[in-house]
Amino acid sequence: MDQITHRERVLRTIEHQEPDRVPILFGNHSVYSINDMPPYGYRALCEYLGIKNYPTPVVNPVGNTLNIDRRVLDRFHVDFEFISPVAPDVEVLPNNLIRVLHLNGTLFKQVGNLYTLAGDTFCPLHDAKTIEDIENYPYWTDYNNPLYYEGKAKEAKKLHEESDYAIISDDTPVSFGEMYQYLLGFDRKLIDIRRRPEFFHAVMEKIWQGCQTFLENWLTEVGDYIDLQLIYDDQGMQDRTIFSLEDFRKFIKPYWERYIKLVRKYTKAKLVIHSCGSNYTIFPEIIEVGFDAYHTLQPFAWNMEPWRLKKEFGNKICFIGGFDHQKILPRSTPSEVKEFVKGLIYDYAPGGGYIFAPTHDIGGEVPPENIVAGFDAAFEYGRYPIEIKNRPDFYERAFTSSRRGFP
Amino acid sequence: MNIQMSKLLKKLANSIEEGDEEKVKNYCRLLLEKGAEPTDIIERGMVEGMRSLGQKFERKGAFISDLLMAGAAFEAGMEVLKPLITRVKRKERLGRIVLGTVQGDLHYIGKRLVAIVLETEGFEVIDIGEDVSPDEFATSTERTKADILGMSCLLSTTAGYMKQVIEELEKRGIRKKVKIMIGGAAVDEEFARTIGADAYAPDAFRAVDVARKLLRR
Repeated sequence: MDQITHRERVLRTIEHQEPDRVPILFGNHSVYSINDMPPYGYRALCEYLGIKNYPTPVVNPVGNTLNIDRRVLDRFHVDFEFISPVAPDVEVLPNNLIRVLHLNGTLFKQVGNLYTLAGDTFCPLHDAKTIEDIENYPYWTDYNNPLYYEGKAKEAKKLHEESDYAIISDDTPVSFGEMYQYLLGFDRKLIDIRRRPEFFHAVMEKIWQGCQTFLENWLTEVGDYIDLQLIYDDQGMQDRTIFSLEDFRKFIKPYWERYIKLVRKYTKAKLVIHSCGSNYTIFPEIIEVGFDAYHTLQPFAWNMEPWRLKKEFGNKICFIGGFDHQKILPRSTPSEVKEFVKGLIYDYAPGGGYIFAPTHDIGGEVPPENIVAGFDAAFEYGRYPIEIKNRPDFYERAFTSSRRGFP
Repeated sequence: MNIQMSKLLKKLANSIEEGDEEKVKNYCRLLLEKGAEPTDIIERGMVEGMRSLGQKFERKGAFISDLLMAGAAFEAGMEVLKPLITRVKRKERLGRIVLGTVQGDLHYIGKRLVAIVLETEGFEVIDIGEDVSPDEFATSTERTKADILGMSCLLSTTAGYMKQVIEELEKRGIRKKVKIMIGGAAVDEEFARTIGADAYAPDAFRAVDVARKLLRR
């Protein structure tokens, strides 16, 4: 029997206390969900778990299930619920493109059954040269549109009062950190910061205006009821950060600081940054700007080994993730998955400050038995006090057999 | 080659490393005026700059903005030199490489970086784009008589297509005629072995070493 509420468990963990067990995160958000696509995906998982009569999966353009049945979440002992703005406004265009109106008209392209960000040539502002081009762009979202917030205060209040889950609020509908590359292309971002920094900042100001309006409206509605606010802004590649530390400080960090300052004005919620890949060199910055928690912990990215992160930064920030979606989930046996998760708990869990979660959404190529083995292991071994005596063999080998290795 | 010329080549190399297109163009012009051979300007100036950046990249002292800038500077230099290269042959092409991102995946930056570095080293790169089906990969390989087929993939969900490409090549009886290298965050050496690719390269600069080894160049 659980001794404390889900919410309490999560909040104590973020405060670096040991609750009764390691909290578990999975659910209806693009980076914590499971894809609804073959050969396995959400449907295969439900079938494997013997869960029947679940509602038809509702998926976002990139294929993540957004209505995972609570029976699945409960089976995995998930401590969270998500709340997101209403965002249904999508325009279908020729050439397999869709325009997402709540994302400033970002274009997604259909590939197979899914939509994915359309790449540089389809970025609507890829050729923008002047700030006039930016100002004259017709698809800036009006975040004062009440449609986005309709009924959400009520929903958040109900979740807060009638459930004891920790509630995560989601900034996907503005995607503040990544909007520059959505609109102009990643190549433009990488080059603009060097070649035309003033233009870069001018575009960021424009993007920020929308984000600010969104946050003010959204947090006015739900700010009192949420426990965590999530922002995502990928900063890592597999072997280093995308930007140099100097560029990060000039072009990324100031906008994170603004974001955090504004969120803190409207809510007491803890702030989570989601950033893929190797973030080792910017961890001190992530901590300094004031994030309470960090998600992905991709274990095989450069210098992201759990013991290294725990030792160097573990008492300053809460860690979320580590359940590797690149190699462990798709390419191991269930008993190996279990060993790996045991290792994660061994390294990350002592002293609190660790929430178990997949490093990213789980792809359709992952067999359901691996997913179940991982979540079951987190529940089994995550009980405090942690009683694992040493790192399991498979876990150690996963890090030592080759640099980015796999046993 | 006199000392002044060597100094200019060094400056050209530095300008490539800094990604300064204007400086690169100016040094190329200046070197031509001083009578330098276009092939020397490329090999001893521009390629040297790119290699030096590569070493810095290996030490994690450079980032992808640097690489893209240097790639653009290299192209700017080539614009100045190109009209003259038809007459003065650049050293023989090292090999022809077809590059693409696998089906279901639209990521392009990593692939572009690989193309930039391979080209600066003297490989002929044919970039066939993103979301490329096994059929298109095989057809392009066949049509261009490529020495190497390079596949890129960021998403673990689409990595499986790499195997399908290899199966398609086998079906057409051309697997043995081409070397296959793969890269991207979703894959590694072990994965390359599992699907029967010839090699894996973890980044753009190491892709050059791998390609050279595969073709024994």
